[in-house]
Amino acid sequence: MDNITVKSAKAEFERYRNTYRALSSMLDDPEQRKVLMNAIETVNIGENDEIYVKKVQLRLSLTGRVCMCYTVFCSNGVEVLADRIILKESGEMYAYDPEIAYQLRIPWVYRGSLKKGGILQNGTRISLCDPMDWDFITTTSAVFSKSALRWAADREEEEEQLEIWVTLEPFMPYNTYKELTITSSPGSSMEPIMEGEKEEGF
Amino acid sequence: MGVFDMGNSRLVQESRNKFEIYTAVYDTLQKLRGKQAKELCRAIKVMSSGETDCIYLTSAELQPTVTGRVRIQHWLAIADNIHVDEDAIELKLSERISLNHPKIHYYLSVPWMTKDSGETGTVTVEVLIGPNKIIDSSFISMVSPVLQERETLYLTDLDDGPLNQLEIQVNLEPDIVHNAITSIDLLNRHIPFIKNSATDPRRTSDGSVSANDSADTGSESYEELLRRIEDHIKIGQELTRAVARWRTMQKTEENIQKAERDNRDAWF
Repeated sequence: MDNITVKSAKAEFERYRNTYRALSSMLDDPEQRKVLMNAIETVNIGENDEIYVKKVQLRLSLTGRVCMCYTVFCSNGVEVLADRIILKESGEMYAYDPEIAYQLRIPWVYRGSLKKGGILQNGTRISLCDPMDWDFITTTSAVFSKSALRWAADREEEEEQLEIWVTLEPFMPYNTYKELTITSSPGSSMEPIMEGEKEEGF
Repeated sequence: MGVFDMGNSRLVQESRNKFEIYTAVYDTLQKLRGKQAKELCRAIKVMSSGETDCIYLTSAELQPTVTGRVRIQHWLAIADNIHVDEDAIELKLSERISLNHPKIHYYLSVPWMTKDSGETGTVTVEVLIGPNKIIDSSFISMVSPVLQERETLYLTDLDDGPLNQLEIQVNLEPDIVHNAITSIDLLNRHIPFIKNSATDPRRTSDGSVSANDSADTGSESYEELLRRIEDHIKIGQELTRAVARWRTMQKTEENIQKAERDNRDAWF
């Protein structure tokens, strides 16, 4: 990896961080919040009294990412198949009207019966708006991390809810300062190889 | 999975401290030099099974990314007649994790199929990172491997002809429970959701969705979706009105009781 690709990757990530900062200041202003809420559309399908999406939030994480957080209410009678939750990106991107669009599928069953159940689905579409501009939308991928599934306690109702985090992760073709080869194909050297340039910290 | 309880500043501070540990390791990895790199390599084991001449692991690399994450990148060589469904690639965490001896241990399974004969198989890559001088146990116990982008790259080798390379990225993502600085509600149901089952033809008598019905929910038309959203809004509005009526009644009741109490007090 040469200096030019690292520099362009850094510039790209700087744009992501600018959007993060802009969103951060925007959330304090009620008028600007409206703009943001109009740009994000979320639809739920397959809800019922026992399992439904209770809350959808746009969150700014302290680890520096823009995230979507879905709080799913599940009654005691249903069990969410957490290992089988999947995120599908729409895969369609139009140059003049780009958007981040994905579908979250949450399969569930009734406790004690594997035959009955369903799939709770959430569709989210983030369109172009002031802080989430063309650059941000076209270089961001929605990533669902199974490790970020959490059971949330509802203080008022003393119920447990499932929190699902979807990270709007910056997608960059050249996203590394250096590489440490930890294994290679048989026959070649197994010695570690350090490549790339030294950079200041994140 | 932990229990999340937002609004606790002590826990948020703990999360910040945790992320500091992460960034410290990240910084060390950026400055890594020869001898340290060798030591780190010894602590990381990469094993693969199910390989054939047509599909095999060529290399695995540890990378500090520009976006501030520690990542492991896997490269698989794939012959021209092999098809890999990138959506079917799975990352599974090892179940043999001990709290006293934390390790990063995961399996990447890459199912494949030959384009001509339909022969199938799975290449499994196992990665195990034990505590060492650079990636210590405090780092290991706070990260989770997360499957990121998968991309099949098409590289041309002048000697061997076309060669496909599958690039699979696994981020060592900081696993922080209180990981939100600020948020905005896009949907917030303050009152429990009540499904209007009478208007939903796909409901069974007990209100559940049958497995077959749920499978095709993705093909629902836009008109149907709008109708369902309108139903939700209607129910929401009805409930809001009901709550308002209940509050008014409660207020009236309270006023009556207060007046009665005042009367009683005045009387006695």
